[in-house]
Amino acid sequence: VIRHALRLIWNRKRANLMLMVEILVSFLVLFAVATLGVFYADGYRRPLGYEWENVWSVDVEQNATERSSERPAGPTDAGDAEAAETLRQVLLAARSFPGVVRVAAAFPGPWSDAQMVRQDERGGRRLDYRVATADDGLADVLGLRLTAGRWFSAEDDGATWTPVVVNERLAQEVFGGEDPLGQRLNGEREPDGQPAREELRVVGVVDEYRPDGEYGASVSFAFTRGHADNPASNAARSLLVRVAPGTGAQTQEKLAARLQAVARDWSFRVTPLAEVRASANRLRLAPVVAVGLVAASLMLMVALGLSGVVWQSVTRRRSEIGLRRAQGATAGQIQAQVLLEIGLLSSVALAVGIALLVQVPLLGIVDWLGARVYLADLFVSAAAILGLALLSGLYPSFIAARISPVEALRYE
Amino acid sequence: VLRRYLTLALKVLARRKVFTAISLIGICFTLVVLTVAAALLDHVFAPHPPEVRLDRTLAIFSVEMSGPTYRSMSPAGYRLLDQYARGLPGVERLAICSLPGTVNSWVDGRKVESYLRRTDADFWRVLSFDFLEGGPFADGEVERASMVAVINESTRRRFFGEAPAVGRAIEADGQRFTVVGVVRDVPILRIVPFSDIWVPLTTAKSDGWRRGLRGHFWGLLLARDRADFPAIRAEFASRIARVDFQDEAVETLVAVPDTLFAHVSRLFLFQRGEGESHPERLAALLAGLGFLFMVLPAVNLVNLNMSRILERAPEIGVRKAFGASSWTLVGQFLVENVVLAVLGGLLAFVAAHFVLGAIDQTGLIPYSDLRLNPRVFLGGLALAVVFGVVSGVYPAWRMSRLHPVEALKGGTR
Repeated sequence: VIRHALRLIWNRKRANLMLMVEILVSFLVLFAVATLGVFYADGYRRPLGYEWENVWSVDVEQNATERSSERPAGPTDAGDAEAAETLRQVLLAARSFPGVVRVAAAFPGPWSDAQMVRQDERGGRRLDYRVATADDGLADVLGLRLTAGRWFSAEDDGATWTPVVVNERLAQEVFGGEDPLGQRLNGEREPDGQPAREELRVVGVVDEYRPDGEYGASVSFAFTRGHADNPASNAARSLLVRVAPGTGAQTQEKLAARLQAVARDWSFRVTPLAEVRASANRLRLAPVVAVGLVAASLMLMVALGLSGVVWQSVTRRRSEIGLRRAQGATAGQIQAQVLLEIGLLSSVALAVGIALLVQVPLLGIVDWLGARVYLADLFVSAAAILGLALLSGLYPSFIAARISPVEALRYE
Repeated sequence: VLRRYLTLALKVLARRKVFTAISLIGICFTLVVLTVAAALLDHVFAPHPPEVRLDRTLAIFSVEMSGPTYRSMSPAGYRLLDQYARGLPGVERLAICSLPGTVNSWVDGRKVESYLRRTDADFWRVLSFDFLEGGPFADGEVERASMVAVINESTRRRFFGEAPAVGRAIEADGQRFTVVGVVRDVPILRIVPFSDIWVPLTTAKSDGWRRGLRGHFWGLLLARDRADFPAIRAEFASRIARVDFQDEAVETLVAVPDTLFAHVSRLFLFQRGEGESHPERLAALLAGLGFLFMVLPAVNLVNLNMSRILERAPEIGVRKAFGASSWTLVGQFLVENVVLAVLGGLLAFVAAHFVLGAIDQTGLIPYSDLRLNPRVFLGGLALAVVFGVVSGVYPAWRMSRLHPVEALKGGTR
């Protein structure tokens, strides 16, 4: 039966070739969209590594001097004494504010517009990773989960090196299977050949930290130690405040007013992380939803088009079908023949598509999806297209099955 | 001849209603998507008030500073713009404004969030806002740091209902401003002029903004003529090459006056920090995406057309037998297809109107005012014709090659 169907397809190869191209292209489109969908769904499923509920971010803009804002500050930077005093007052006011559970500092914080990327060289290899300056309280405020070592603490005060906490992804990337604790993170030299200006040494590992939220990629990340009460430290630019559950928007305003009262010529912006997260996610999801809608409509259009074409070919082949009926083929067999033809056609197109996509390790897609997900994605898309093609052949196949042999033969 | 073709085309299309409907749906949908995309691009990049002189405006959006171990990208600082961008040859005016930041206000116990932007007085001269009430603040008010504000229509409604606002006070971010002007809403996607509240630069709570090379400012340069753009860029580049960093950690500073489109292309294609921007790459990318998107609908339409032709094989056979040349037949079929595409295009236009209205309604893009203008209309129509021709050529060619005898018999091949 299949051989017969194949011969029929071959007989009209030109017209069928265009149909196969159409099915192939829709498969590629569906695959691309499905991959995007899998990426987002996967991102949503995986843990963020921190808890954003009941955390407010407080952006602090100091009446700062040029110097302190132009340079990534280390813990040794001596701040302006007056600013230091104001900052101390601000932190005191924030900590003692009713409803505030704990105050920490991290810049850039989660979902921040700012990004800090550090470029190091290690063993002749370029190493790029995202960093944030964080103080001793951050692990508590964000609920970071340490899988090895410890978070920053007063122990680090006398150290001659800069303590860092890395996420497991960075630890894996740099140290492989080795124990990262106590090891040096950056190389002896900067990428430009100068001797390294500081030594970063790993004191702890957190399981995960995804600063761009659920729909951002997993990145290699490191926290370096900073001090919220040093006005020259980056950490002092952005406080993170854990508040008691149920603390409302009115309190936000009061907190901002209280801080403003302490530091008259500074400015403060209090925003719950929940709000920052919602607007960031909206921004990232909107294009995906749009692409999804467009793809869905494209598939609908393809289904309509295919069923139109199959319908047409059925009407044109009335006499052939009538002849088969007259020779004793049942309605069911006729229907099966029509569906078999479109099914075979799609299978050939899909086989070509799969062969194409398996060859191409698309821009490292396989890396972050994992081979299993990639293959599953491939076959699910293929199955969906096959289903779509069969579905669009369904109605024309009914029509074909209803053709009465007498009428069809007379039609000729 | 063309008229006869047209009537014939309409008759043929009316005869096969289901087919025509399926083709129309496909064409219509394709063009709706393209029209909506075009309207969005128009919304973001075309010169609409207040950016009426967009064609001769350059802006310094960001600076990149690099040192041995780090690279930072951020908006420009006031000092950079003030010291190095003033008095560039060929520039009529320089306006400096901050990026909009969100501020909270409390109106009758209700929290109101607005965007607030600090600007100089030239901002109002480089851009032409549409004032509903009052007017902009002037140089003197900026110098004296007067607590005055221009607000938009929606902010007026949030604070004062429908009543006039000029002379009344609003409180934002803990500061009190007197409203001097009310402007029409500017969509958020017009990133250069957009805000809810505009106040003088000098009203900032601290004085730190004056000192940075990096900061949160944009400089808008209104040139006398587009032709001066390269000279302006060159002069600015030679000036910032002499910047004194007073800091050993910074080695290079790159900032390029860009057009809006070039800036967006930098952001999208990660060309930040490169001296040259390549807006043509973004244009090519957009065109490529549009083309890719059109592939599937076009193939779909080609298939439908082939079916339609095969169905009409007897008719074609008759016409050929009576001496119609292949070219006549191809022409006839193309006209038929273009008529179909243009019909679909007109339908798409009506549909796009409602889609755009719906996008406005959702409030996904604050203050968006998406609409179809003649530019988009003509573009859409041209696209429809192209679409019709492209999807018609192959089937028409196949048709013209049908052998008359075979075609008369109902040719299957």
